[in-house]
Amino acid sequence: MDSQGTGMSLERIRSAIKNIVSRITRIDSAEFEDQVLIREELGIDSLMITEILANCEKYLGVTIDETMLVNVETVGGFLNLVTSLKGRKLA
Amino acid sequence: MNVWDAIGEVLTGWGGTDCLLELHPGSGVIHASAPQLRREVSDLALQLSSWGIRKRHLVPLFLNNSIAFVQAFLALLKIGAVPVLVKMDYRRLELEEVFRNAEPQAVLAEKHHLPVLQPFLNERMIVVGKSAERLELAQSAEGLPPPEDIPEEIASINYTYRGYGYPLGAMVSHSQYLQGAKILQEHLQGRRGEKMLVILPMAHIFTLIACILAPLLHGLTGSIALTLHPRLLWGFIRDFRIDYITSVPEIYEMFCRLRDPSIDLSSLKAFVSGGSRLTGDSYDNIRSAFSIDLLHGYGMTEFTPVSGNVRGQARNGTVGPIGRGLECRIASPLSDGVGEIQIKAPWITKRYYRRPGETKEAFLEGWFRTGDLGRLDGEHLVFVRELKNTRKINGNIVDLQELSRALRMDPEVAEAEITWEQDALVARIATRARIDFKEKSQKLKTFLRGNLAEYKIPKRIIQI
Repeated sequence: MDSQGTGMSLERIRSAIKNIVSRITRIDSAEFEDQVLIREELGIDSLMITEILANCEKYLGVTIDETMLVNVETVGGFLNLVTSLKGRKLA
Repeated sequence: MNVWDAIGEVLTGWGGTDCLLELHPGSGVIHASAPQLRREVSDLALQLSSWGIRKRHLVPLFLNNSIAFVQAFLALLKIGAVPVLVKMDYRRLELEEVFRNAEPQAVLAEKHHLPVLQPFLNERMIVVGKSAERLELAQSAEGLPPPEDIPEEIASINYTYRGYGYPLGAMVSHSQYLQGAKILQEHLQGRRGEKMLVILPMAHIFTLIACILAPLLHGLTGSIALTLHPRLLWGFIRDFRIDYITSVPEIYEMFCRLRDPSIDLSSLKAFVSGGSRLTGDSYDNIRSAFSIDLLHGYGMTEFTPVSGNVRGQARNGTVGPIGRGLECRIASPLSDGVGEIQIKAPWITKRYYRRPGETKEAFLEGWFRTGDLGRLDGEHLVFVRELKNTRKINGNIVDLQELSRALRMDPEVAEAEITWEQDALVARIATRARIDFKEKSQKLKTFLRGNLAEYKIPKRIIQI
């Protein structure tokens, strides 16, 4: 994956996000179905979330404000948030 | 001497630098000069007194990290009231125990947090809510008598755990705070005008002593960052020339992984570390990434720091020499020298509030039993592991018995065994009947989320 993740398809962006989350949480990315609850089911804590955001920013070239996560509860919700930010950046 | 009296004296001769900064991501900085802090603490003390808060009143604080937290803490000490320090993460089961034990006369909380506290508030309490920069009286109550069992020497009550399954209110004296700050400074050797970054929750005694009291008492600026996001923290460190950070090893490890060599962090001089275990590899990684002193130490609510590595003399694998004036012994050491760490000093916590049995068990012949195993390596203390039934997650103490008890509240759960595996909490559950365990596991996590601090939720729940 190149720095800033330029020239990536939507599917590759989603895959990159899942890889980041898997690396930080040490959870197999196969468990990341869209409806899975990030906190309740995956047990991802606030420190991991901070590191996930920072890595998404670093490798995908987006800026994620922590306040954007207030209403994000599922894996699908998080993927949609980051891919939409990436899409705005590419537009 | 009262903590506020000691700080008030220092503020009088502070000089021109800020004593506190509040660093907001994206929206600037709030400064607090020494005269401003003195005046605002005095004004706030008058305001709280006018609302009915009196000497010896117990007042839980549920405030986010902020200059306002420091002002509220100091204003309560000025009045002679007793701040009760409790994590904002606490939920129903923890709050039930704290409110039942402390029976506070007043509560000071972020307004948005009041709904969480509502079940524990009653018409006999003074309730003060904070929104934006203002404190407002949400509920008044008149003529509340203070408790009669808080000695004059007590500054605050700080809740902690020792594996009993419920929190204990350590009665922290003014001299405990002042001596802890003195020892911290002896290890750090910070200079007037330097800046300490504050990122850990202020309700924790490690943060209060290392990031607020030690800096205030020695002329350093406490710089309160309202985020843990590394990109923003690097910016603060660069822009405000931060000299020190106090944090837990897990956060330093994250910093290592997210270090950006393009950002100038040359102002940093040392990291103060504590609250969790620091492995030898982590020590090497952190030192390699930042090339500054890593001063890892050891302490607890009942006294901090018990020990700490000293600037310029830090050693990997130890938690440093014992703090000056403190006595430390290793009780009943085995052949490898490992035994329970026990400490003695006039200023350590002498009892847990309204818990005589637990207090008696915590002391042996005048020595405080830490409930941790360690050994001495020359003059340095080496922490081995917890003996008591608790574990640390990102510096937060988790009582394994409390978690087991919470899970057993579910009528379908017959047994709940909590273990610590690969740096995570694991719960093994036996149910009374055959059920859909995946669904039950989900429901148990949802139940725990509403009833305990989030960091206590087990990562895995396994059926046995």
